[in-house]
Amino acid sequence: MARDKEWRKKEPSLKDVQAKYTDLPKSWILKADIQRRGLTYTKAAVDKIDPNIHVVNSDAGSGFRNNLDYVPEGLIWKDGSYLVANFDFDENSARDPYVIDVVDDKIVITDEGEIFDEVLGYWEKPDFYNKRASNGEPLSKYITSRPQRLDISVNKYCHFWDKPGDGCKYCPLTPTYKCSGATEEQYEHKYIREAFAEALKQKGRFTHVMLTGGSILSGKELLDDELESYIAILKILGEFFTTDRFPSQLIATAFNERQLERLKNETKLMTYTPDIEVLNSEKFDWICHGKSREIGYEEWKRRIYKAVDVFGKGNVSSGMVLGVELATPNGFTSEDEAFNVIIPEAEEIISHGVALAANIWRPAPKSILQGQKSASLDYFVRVYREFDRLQRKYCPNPYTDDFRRCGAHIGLDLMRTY
Amino acid sequence: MVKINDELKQILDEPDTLKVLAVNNREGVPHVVFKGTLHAEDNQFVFYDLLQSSEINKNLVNTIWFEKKLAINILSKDRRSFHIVGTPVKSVTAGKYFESVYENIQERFGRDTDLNAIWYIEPEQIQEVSFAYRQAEQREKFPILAHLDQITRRDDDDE
Ligand code: SF4
Repeated sequence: MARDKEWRKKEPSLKDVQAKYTDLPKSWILKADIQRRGLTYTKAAVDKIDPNIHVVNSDAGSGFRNNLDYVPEGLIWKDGSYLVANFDFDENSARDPYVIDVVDDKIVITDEGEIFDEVLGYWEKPDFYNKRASNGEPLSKYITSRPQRLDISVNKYCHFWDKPGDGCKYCPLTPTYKCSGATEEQYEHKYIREAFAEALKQKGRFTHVMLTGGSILSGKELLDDELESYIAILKILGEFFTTDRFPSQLIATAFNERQLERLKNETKLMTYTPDIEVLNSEKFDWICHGKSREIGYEEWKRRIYKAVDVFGKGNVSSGMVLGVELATPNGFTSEDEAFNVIIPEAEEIISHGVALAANIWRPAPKSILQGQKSASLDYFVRVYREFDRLQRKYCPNPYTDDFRRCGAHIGLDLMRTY
Repeated sequence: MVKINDELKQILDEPDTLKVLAVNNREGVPHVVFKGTLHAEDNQFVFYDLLQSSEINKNLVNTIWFEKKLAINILSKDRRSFHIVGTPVKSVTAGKYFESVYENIQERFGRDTDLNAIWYIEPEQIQEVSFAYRQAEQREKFPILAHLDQITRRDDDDE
């Protein structure tokens, strides 16, 4: 989509939205807008990178992006939270991105030359990124990192893409995998173990381990092979800890009761996140057709609630791609309509103590919906504000999937004052 | 910006000094808590928050988000007291510097002690409020403030 040069005149500006929602932090609304519009770096901002200290996109690949540029993976906010920016932004997105620049030796966020905030700096590289596995490969190939989280991407390919039309339409994982020419869906577990052992040596760095990956539909029962992969790795990780459970999260397909019980009983996993993605049965069926066809929207929700029974209230969250419900041609046609439909649905889910880890939809390059235009900033902020009201009421554990453990879905940053 | 002078920095470093922070919560209710690790670095007050679920941490997050103020009081062993108004300007929750403080905290308080955040507070106002100091100040500035019997000539006063 060619950028509409008049786009600023057609929607509320950052300042308008900040002035409208005075009960939400201005710096947080800015963060939402950066995730929506994207960002670029001036040469001065790139020169602030110290390759011995900071982590850049070229240090470690990610299944969700192709970008291996020498730019920071993320920014550190003054309130101690992070801006996750290590994904592919659409260079021709519908709106101009923010520009990270340096003024008076400070790293600042600018738009049309105006400074909107200062950031404390760039994410730092974990020590294990400088080490290699016994096969000579960098350990960062097997485990990646956010400021306080270790990420293990178990299956690089999602088998919903085996059948045309079944892959989630916003998702770049499998197209990115295919483009990279990779053929190895999973890495040998011994190298994951080596990376994990090395990562744990860094005191005070990590508070959480997250496992995720593409869905695997095969097995005796649907998803059994996916379950086996996660159990195998979680068992390896569990050996490192003295406690019954360790701070960990599995973002995976929605397992049935039997599979959930196995996950709980055979591993030391602490929290589970089966992502519902879209809060409406009809839009879910269009956007996540494979999930809808194989499991179904109502069944997906039922499995989330079963997971709460198994893992305990506060230990289950669900991710969503906020804004994709407005995609064309089959999405909602107005933001008001979308808001009115998804909020009651959100209340039903959140009332089970399940926080919604809602990521801002950026039409990702290589995804089926690439090149589309995401919603207005007002829409994202209005929805997040409502989710926050509901989460304050129903969610007993504001630390599951919070700013410290993830940081991508910024709605849950607001849990910091619960 | 007001300056944290060397005398106050020294008082802050003395083990018997009491240091207390008052920070409002979201609803505007003040929460007051003693913070032994409060000290000065350059011209900022710094303290280590050890528990992410602490009331003060939540309140400080709210304070930095909405650019509000907090208060600190410092009471020395010899009962000199200082009232400080400031704003939280940053919270460090990760990185090499954080890790060095984390290790230091563990050495001081034991291996099972965690570190949530290093908070930095910029002072806007520092005022000595020790009783003797304030009493003399009030007498000087507002001589109208006194019960008359305090200034009534007494029989045993020197002629
Ligand atoms: S299930 Fe959907 S969101 Fe998850 S990896 Fe597959 S296509 Fe992507």
